[in-house]
Amino acid sequence: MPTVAASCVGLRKAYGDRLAVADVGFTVHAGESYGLLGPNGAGKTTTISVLCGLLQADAGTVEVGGAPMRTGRCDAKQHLGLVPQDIALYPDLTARENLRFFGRLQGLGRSELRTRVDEVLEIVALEDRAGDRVESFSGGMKRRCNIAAALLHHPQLLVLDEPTVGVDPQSRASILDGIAALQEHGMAVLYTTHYMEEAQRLCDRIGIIDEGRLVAEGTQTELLAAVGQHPVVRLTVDGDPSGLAGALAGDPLVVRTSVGDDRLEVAVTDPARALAPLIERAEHVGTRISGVEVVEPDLESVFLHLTGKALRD
Amino acid sequence: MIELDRVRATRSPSALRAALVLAAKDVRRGVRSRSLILTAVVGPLVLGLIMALAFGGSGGPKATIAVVDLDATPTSRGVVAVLGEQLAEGPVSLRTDLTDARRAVVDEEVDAALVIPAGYSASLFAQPLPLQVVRNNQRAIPGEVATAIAGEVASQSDLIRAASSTVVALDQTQPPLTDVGEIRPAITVDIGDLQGAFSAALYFGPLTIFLFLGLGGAARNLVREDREGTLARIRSVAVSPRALATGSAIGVFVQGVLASLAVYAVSSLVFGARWGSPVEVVVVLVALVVSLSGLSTIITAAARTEAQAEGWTNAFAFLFGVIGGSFFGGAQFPGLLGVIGSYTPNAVAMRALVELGPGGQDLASVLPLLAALVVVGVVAFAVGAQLMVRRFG
Repeated sequence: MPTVAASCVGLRKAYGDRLAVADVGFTVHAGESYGLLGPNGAGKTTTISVLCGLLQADAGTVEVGGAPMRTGRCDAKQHLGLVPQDIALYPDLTARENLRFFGRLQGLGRSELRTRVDEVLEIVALEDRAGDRVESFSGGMKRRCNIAAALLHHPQLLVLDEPTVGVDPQSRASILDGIAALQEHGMAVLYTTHYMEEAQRLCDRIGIIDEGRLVAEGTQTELLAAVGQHPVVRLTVDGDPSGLAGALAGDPLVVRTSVGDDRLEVAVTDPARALAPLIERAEHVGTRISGVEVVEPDLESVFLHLTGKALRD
Repeated sequence: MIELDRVRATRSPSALRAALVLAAKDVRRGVRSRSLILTAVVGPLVLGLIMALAFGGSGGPKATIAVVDLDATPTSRGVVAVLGEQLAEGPVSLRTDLTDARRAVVDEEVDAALVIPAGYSASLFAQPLPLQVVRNNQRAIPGEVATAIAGEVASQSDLIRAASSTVVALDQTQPPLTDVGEIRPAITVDIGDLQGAFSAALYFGPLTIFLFLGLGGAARNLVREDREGTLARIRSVAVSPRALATGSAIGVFVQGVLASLAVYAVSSLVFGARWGSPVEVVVVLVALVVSLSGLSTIITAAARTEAQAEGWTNAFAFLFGVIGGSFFGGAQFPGLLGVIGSYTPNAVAMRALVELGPGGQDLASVLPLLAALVVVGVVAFAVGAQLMVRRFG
């Protein structure tokens, strides 16, 4: 099996005058989970559409499973399973009929198809509803069936385009657990989302995309480090915190301080090591601390740092 | 239980297999939603039945036939008299002059004219001359009715000859035959039956209209699938644009053939319409559906919205239906429109059915018409498939 499940280089796609994707490039390694994180309209779905051969890029190249992706060709497409953002199922057919239809299109033979349909129904916990029409399913069940249809042919790469949009929390948790389980079994996953916590939970590496450009890429730790994001110890104090801020200047564990009316925010390199000395220093300068909160940096702050706007703007 | 260890190299299905899978899905959904049954079977039958009732049972429109007696002998006058009595269901006007009869046909005073040629009586005792037919190409069915009558008369030449011989034998004085008013042969020409034989046009017309309307079904499906995301999923698997086009055309073909067979069977068995030999009728209907399936591929590939699919489908249905004569029992427009209309698939198929009708020709003689239908279908499919490649390739 190739070590690279999919790669994009220099992707560019415009709709008229509007540039949807500009020079986007990334690699998803075999068995890796890669997240494309960005707000709505950032270019995630366009990128996915080009990667899956649904759209022809204006420039750039895509390879999936070692084969070049072209819209009219099938070589690369057989290596991927797409879970579209919409419920791409026929509501008037049963779950089993839907899966059999897509399985046949994937080239599965009769006996293999029967086996695989049963297996994926079990994976998404829909065995009991296999004979029911999809139109009778709840939103979460439809989403699970939507994922099942992409798993039938054992794709090397599973591409999920915002699979939890509009799903209730219980179904969402179930879907995320299922995807995590697929990852554990070695399936490469390309996951687009604008939910930061999903990217943090599921993805080995994350590409942050905004206004059609990939603005940063790496593991969560790498991204946080790259933009200089550090944990913050937020102290609520009685009185003026300026004295304490001055006392902390030059401390090797302290990166910076920020003074408010009754609050002092202290960016530190390691909150576990820095907390005790901070409190000691406060006692030393006579500042009474009434509250302590440690805030770990997250992708939201990375996105804010990189783009100047919140992820959900 | 998640099982991913058995990662296999998937094999793309052949384009034909993918197309068949797509077509089977379309047919299944059409049957399940009952839309196929309603639009392709119930619709044409109901419309055909209404037209049949409007024209008086299943007898079909009445042909007005002129008879021209150029032989002017007791025998020919007897044949005219018999025809006059037995063609009572359709008015018969007697003309004595061929030019006058031709003008009447051209001016549509009559639908067709039967001509008893000069020398007809004498020819009965050697090689009987056939009755000739003056027809208006824009009125195919009456022309075929007249041809069928001529065939019926020709098939009863022995009876006509026998009547002439008997009169001559009984009257030993052998007066000049011109002195005998008329010699009535004991022939029967059931005009009602002959006209009823062509009543299939009443069902064929509506059938073609509904088949045309069905052309857009595949286009509407594709637009809907594009909107709902299933098309994206289909395209993300190993299905080529040509397989998409083929699947769509096969789906339309299967639904069209099912609808045609249902209308043919019900109109024949329940309403008594006589289409002709079953095998020949089925061959013509299949050729027509091949033609329309090809045309449907163009609409499917070109329509980007349901409104476009709807508009182009209606344009096809009503334009081809009107100028091809499907609305008027085979009647076509005069002039250029009539010429263009005669080349529409529905008009060509109608012509094939009429020519194969009672007293008509065999399948081999309409092969050029059938070939034309198939060629139109194949060429239209090729164009549609290429458009599909340009759209999705």
